[in-house]
Amino acid sequence: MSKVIIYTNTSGNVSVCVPTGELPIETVLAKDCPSGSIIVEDSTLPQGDDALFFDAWKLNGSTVSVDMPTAIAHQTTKLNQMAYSEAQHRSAKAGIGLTNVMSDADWTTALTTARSAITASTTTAELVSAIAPIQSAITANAL
Amino acid sequence: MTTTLNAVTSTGLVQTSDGSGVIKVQSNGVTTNALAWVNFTGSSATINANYNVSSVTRNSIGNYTINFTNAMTNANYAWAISYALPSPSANNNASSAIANNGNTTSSLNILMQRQTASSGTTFDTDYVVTCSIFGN
Repeated sequence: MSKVIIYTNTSGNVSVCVPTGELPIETVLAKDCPSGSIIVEDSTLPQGDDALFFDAWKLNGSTVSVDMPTAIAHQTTKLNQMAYSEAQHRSAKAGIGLTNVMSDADWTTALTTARSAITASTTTAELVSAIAPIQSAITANAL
Repeated sequence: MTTTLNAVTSTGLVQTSDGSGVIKVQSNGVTTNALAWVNFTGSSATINANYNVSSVTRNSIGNYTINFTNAMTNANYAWAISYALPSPSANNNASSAIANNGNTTSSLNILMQRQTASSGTTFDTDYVVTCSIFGN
C-alpha cells in the first residue's frame, strides 16, 4: 500500500497527488497541495469499475466514492462522442461502396438501448456494460 | 557554487549547483541537461521513475500536474512529453494532442487530449507517460 494526498479541486472533483518519494509526504502535502488536503492509503480509493469514473469521484470527509448521476452524465457523453465518430465512419464506408457490419436500423436500436441502459444504471459496472455492445460494434465495423 | 566539470575554456562546459542538489551542466552559460524528468502510468499517476519531481497530481481524466522538488529559475523552460495513443478502434477519427495547461517555476500542468470531429475530449492512458524539463 502507498499513501497519496487527496483534495477537492476547484472543479469540484477529486485530485490525487502521488508523491515520488523524493520528499516526505508531509512536505509534499504542504508544498504541492492546497490547505485541507488529507493523506490516505491509495487502497481506500475507488477500485475496479469505480476507478474508471475518476471524473465522477467525490470526496466526503476522508472517503472518496463515485457520484452516480455524474458518472451517468459522463458515460452518456462518452457514448455520444463514440456514436458521432462512428456515424461519420459508417457514412464514409458507405460512400466508398463498403457495407457496414450493422445495418443503420440495428445501429440506431443499439444506441437507443445503450442510452437506456446508461440511464437505468445504478452501479459503475452497469455503466461499463451499457456501452460494451457499442464498443464491440465499432470494433467490428473497423476497416 | 560552481564546480568545474571540464575546464575547457573554448567550450565553457561547467557543472554548477545552487546547493539544492540539482546539477546543471552548462555550455557557454546554457544548461544542457534535463532539470527534471518523470515516468508515470497515466491511469493512476503511479510513479515509475523520476528526478527532481516531488509528485504528480491527477486532477481529472487526462489532466496532470507535475510538481518539481526544486523550482526552476524561471518559467521559460522547455518541456517534452511522450505517451502511447490508445487503440484507435474506439474512435476512428481520433488524433491526439498534448497541451500545456499552465506552467510555473514550481509545476507544469498538462492535458492529454484526444481530438474528435465533434469535440475535443481528454482521456487517460494506461500507457506510460514521460516528461522531461530543460531550461536554465
